Amino acid sequence: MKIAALAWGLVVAAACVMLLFQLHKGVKLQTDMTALLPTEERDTFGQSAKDRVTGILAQRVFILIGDDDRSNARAGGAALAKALEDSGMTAAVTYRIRQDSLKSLGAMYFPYRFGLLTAADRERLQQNHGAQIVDRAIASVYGPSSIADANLLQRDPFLLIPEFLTNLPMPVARLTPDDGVLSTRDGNQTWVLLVAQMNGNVYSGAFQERFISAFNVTERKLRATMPHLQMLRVGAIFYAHAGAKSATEEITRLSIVSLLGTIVLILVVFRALRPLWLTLLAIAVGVLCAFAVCLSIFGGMHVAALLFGVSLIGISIDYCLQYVSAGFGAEAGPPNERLRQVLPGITLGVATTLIGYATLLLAPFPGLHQLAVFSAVGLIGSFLTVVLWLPFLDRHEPLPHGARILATANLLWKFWAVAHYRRWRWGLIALVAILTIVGATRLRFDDDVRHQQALAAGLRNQESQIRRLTGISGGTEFLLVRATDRDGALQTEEALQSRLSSAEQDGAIRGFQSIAEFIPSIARQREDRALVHDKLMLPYLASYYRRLGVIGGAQADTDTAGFLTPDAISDDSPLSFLRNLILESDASGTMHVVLLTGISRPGEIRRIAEAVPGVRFMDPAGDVTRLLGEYRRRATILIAVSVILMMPVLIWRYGLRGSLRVALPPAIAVLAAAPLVALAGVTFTFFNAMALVLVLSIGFDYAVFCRESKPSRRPATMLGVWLAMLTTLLSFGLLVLSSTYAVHAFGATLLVGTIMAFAFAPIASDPGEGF
Amino acid sequence: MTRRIAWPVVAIVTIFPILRLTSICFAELAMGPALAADQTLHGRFVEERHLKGLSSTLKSEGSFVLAPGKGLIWRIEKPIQTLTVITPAAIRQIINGSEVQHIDAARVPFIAHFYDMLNGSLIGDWSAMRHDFAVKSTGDRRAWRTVLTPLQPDDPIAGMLASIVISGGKMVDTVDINRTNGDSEHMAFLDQKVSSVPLVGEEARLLDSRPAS
Repeated sequence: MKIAALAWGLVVAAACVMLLFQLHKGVKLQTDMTALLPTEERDTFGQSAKDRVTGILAQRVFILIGDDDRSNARAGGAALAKALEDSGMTAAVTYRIRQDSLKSLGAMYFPYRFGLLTAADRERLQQNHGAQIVDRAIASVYGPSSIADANLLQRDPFLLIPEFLTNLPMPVARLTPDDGVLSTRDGNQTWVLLVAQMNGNVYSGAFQERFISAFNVTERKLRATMPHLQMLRVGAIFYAHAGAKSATEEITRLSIVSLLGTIVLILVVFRALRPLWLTLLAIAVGVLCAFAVCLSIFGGMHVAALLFGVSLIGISIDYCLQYVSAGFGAEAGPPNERLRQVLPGITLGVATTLIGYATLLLAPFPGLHQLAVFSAVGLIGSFLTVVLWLPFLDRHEPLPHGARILATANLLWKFWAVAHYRRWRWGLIALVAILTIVGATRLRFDDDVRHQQALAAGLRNQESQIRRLTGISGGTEFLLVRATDRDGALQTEEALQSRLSSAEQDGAIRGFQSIAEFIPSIARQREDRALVHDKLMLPYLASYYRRLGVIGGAQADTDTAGFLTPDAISDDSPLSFLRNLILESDASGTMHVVLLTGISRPGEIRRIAEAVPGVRFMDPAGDVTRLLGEYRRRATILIAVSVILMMPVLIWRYGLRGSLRVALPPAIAVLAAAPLVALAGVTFTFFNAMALVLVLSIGFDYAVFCRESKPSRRPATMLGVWLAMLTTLLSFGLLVLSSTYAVHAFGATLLVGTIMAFAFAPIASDPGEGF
Repeated sequence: MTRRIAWPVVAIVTIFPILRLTSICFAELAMGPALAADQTLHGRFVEERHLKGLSSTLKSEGSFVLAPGKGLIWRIEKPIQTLTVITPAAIRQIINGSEVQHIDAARVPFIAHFYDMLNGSLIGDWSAMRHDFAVKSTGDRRAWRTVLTPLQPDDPIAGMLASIVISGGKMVDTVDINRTNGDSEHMAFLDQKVSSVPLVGEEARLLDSRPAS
């Protein structure tokens, strides 16, 4: 035994060196959810586009400053704009807008006016209804909305440019400039808009901390003088900061409770801390080995696989507790003897759990592969530590004090064994069965990633208020348009436009934004020019001028200079936001983005994208949602597969009837857990499925421990099971209190599943041995 | 950087009519009786527009209907027949029964904003006017004259106006708009009648701001 312990020491030392070496080289922890996708489904090209667009969107913040007093709102806006500009954390702050933005916009479009038609006017000319445009121009000249003067009538006879400009789909159109500041009024309140673009990584904790504290300081200062000032904000940085803050607080709170609870439990039961150290040592060695092996196999690890992996290795606490509980009672022998007593049970427990974890390898998902290898290696590491090291580290003397505790622990056994409780037993079984059936009818699947994270409610309120007041809405979905050159990309966007417009009318999306809506392709400008010349100027201009009395007759200034291209948008143009929609434009090709907002029927958008060559629908949140759904389905199937794979081992040891008995408690736990939590309104997600993987292993452990236990050792076995259950609840069950839905669902399922596995575990024992 | 606006252009297209109405109603309020919420004003107009560089004066005439809370119908009968309808929801231009222009207030909030000014002045809240214009009135209730001059001559919109002169007695009789580029227009209002009978038929339909299906 000593030699084996030393050998294991060498292996662990080697793993340590390996890990240190890897850490020294620099470990890359992947955080990108799509890295969990099967390789063939990944798309690096689309990925980089997605990263860039989401980067641009994430770095933006919109702030509305409101007050009953217009001058207060404006003073607040100006002060905040100044503070943000001075902070050094913004690339651009837009508060005061140019008074001459009309001029700059007009100046950009005017030279190209004969190639710029609204969709409606294009259709009129195509269908030879040019007379309608003529009538409209005459009505405009006479009518109450006339802006025409002789100069304009000569240069743009049919007032096409005002028509084109008023039909531009300008964003934030609900805001109007008031003395150089975009404002809106709502009841008595005046709101002013401020937009800022960050220059740092909004997901970095340090940057968030600096930005939010600077923002809060300014807000406090302003409130000191203007107590009724309101600030509405929307932006990824606010959500990310609030999320990180609440998660940190929550994790701190839960870990303290969990750690204190575990320490108190061990102290009360063992009156010593040594069992705690032994347990932690076993888990630590397991995680160390797992990490070292995974890094050398995969070269890196996904952070999700790492987190779930550590949880799965945590089950090895069950084996430790079986061993340390064997130290109770005067008849408990020396450490080696205690180990010998529990060895069959924990070996079978490890074997079934290993089969369960290894089954995850069968799915074609890199995330599950990493998870399987990590947790299997870790489990073996922990198990070997328990078997080879713990007897040497443990105290030699048995624990003399535990008579009452052992008796109490044995009560569960009595509940299942004593004839007196027969009715109660059937009552419990019936109750669980009924609740499970009722719960099953309420079971709902939910893979939507947006439901898995808790967005701060206060911020969500502000976002919806901002949407109501301004029409600004956050969205991460977009269409990626690829073409060989820029005009090709614009032409593709034009092909999309009519389809997207009708989707907008159907309510499939709330809106979209593309460059081609503002800058038509050269091909279209050429067509429009021909239409204007052939179907408007030639047939109507002379008589129109005669009718209005334009001096100089048909001497319209109809010369045109080249074509309008996106290059014409200058840095300080009101349209400069459009430049963000051009991702790449070089000899190798062009990539444009069409932003979409408020998608309610993604399927329709997907069909539109498929119908137009060169277009792809990019839906980061949707991709993760599909991924979670796929992982959930696979994980659920794998649970069933792993039960089937475990059976041969159990049949070999217990025969067919015995193995079915052993499989009963875990089966009840796994089948009942999801319906029972559904009764509390918890939907079934990938995270519940992962909890069930754990529940299955836990269930088999408890069942095998009970089955392997000799009647004389039952109280000690039951104590080990009790402790395993309580520590599991303290570490994972507490997660039910999390405000992050995914974690809450995981915790709830594990809580209920573990309790079920525990409650029914004695059923597994052999009735022939005096059940 | 999703922002900034084609609004000034929109403003230019839409501001003058509404401004004009606002002034009318304002003057009416200042000097004459304001309309109650259930009243409507029917009348006729003659308008002459002098544009530099045009050989002739652009003269038009027709009728109008003004209903507080609902909107304005401006019907030109000569020299061509057109309908302009301004409601809180949109500005529409209709020729021969077909809509040739539709500016939606949801996309161009300016309309709603100025509509609020119009309505505000009907109920007596004309502080919005004072924000943009210096208001000077002379005369008495039976014969008065009000001159509006823009407070901010470098404002891209108001700066295009030199002055607006409104005169009247019990009702607004004339409005003169002078622009900084030398163009001017003169409007005379005739046969004005205040009625308490609800609008019916086409007029009611045109001012129904619920979206047509």
